[in-house]
Amino acid sequence: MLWLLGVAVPLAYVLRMSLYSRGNVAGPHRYDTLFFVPGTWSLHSFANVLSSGFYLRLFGFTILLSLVVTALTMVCGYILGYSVYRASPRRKIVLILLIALPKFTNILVFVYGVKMIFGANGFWPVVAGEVLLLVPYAALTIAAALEAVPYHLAEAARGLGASASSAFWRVTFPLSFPGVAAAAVLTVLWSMSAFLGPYLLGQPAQYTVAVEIDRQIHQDLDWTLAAALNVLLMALLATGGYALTAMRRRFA
Amino acid sequence: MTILARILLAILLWPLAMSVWVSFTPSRYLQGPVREWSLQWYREFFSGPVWMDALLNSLGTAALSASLSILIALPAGLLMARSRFRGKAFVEGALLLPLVLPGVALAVGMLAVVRSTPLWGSQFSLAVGHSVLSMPVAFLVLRATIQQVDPALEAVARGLGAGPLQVFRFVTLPLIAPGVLASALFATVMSLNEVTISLFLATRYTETLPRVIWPNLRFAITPLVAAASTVLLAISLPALIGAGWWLRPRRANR
Repeated sequence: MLWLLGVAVPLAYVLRMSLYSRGNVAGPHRYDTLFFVPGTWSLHSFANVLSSGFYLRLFGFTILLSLVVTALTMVCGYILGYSVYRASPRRKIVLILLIALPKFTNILVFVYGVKMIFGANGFWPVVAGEVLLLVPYAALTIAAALEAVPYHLAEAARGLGASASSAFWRVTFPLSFPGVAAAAVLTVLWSMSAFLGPYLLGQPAQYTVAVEIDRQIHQDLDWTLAAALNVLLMALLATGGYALTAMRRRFA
Repeated sequence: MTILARILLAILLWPLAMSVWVSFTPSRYLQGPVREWSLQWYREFFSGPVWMDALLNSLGTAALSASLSILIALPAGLLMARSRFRGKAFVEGALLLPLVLPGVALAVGMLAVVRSTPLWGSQFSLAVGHSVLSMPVAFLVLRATIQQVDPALEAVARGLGAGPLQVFRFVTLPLIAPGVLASALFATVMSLNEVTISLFLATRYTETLPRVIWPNLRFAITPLVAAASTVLLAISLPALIGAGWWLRPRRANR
């Protein structure tokens, strides 16, 4: 029931809203037809989005940002995950708690700290903020995958004459790859819908699709357009997620 | 590798430490206190009616949404851990879907739904919004806890003549109590810290603490925001540690 109320109905609304025609909403009646003219069907908003260079660049930037963030998150996540894997049982719990800590504190506290560290807004603060927000998930997913890899295997490789780095790259890493792939898929999906990081740490040049949706809802009051952007974003996520999962099945 | 990991961990925790540190500054600007420490920003926080209202609203919404979350996640966890049926994978996917959906998409949809019902501006709508996000987490914790309970115990109780409700009340529930408590705490903390949905659904009368921090963060930054953030942290942290502690014995005998 709650699921219906909280997930299915809102998503259906978004879809329906994206297909309304906005009608003529200028003037004092602006708020009467708050987000649509009832009973109209139109692909107008989609046409608007897909024919505008601004929105295409926006989607392009969102994808670019998500790729940069994912690459960095995976590297940092693997380093942290590996240190959890190698820690003693007691330190393991402490490490996991420390890594998860930022996720259970307010995202605003966190972003506030990042803001103070960087001073000014820009591309790299956004990347840093998003990486820091996503790295705990990646690190813990990778740590869980590594747990399934017995360390004796790497030790056996060392015993057979492999160097430390080739034991890691040729034994441990390939065995942990399924977890890395799962973490990468999640990171891509989450960073693609990045909202708070770009909004608070970026300048307009770093705004993502999610930020634009918020702007349309709260400032430009074009809910139909916001809904269309939303539908397109979710379609992008679904195709991205599907393609990555399919790739993961093939290689892992 | 370990040195790198330590540096990364330090970077990860740095922003948190930074905002706690700055909250004790006597200065009007964002500089950490050097020699002089001051509680002036905390005084301002606890004497500001806007901040106190927001804090109370936050706590109320968190309690309501955590209860809703458990109310849904517990039966769902029981169902998914204990029975087999057609379309189980689909139901599981549906239950976990909010985890990967963009927060903004859910928020926009909820805003549209809530705007066209009398729920607009109620604390209940906000609590529902938050529990949509925390329910999957509570579900995962509860299902894992229930799976650790030996089904034989329930079978024995049934064999001794207990009805399904009695079995649940006197056998299953006491055994999964730590998991229930932990997931309730997780859900509470998630609701306290939730930003995106609150931005869309909260009105002037239901503003939560993050929602009041928000415009300050965007425009006029004073150490007051750091103090407000630290108060949130001070509420969430014991809850998180409590949840971890409650789950610990289960993890140990796995």
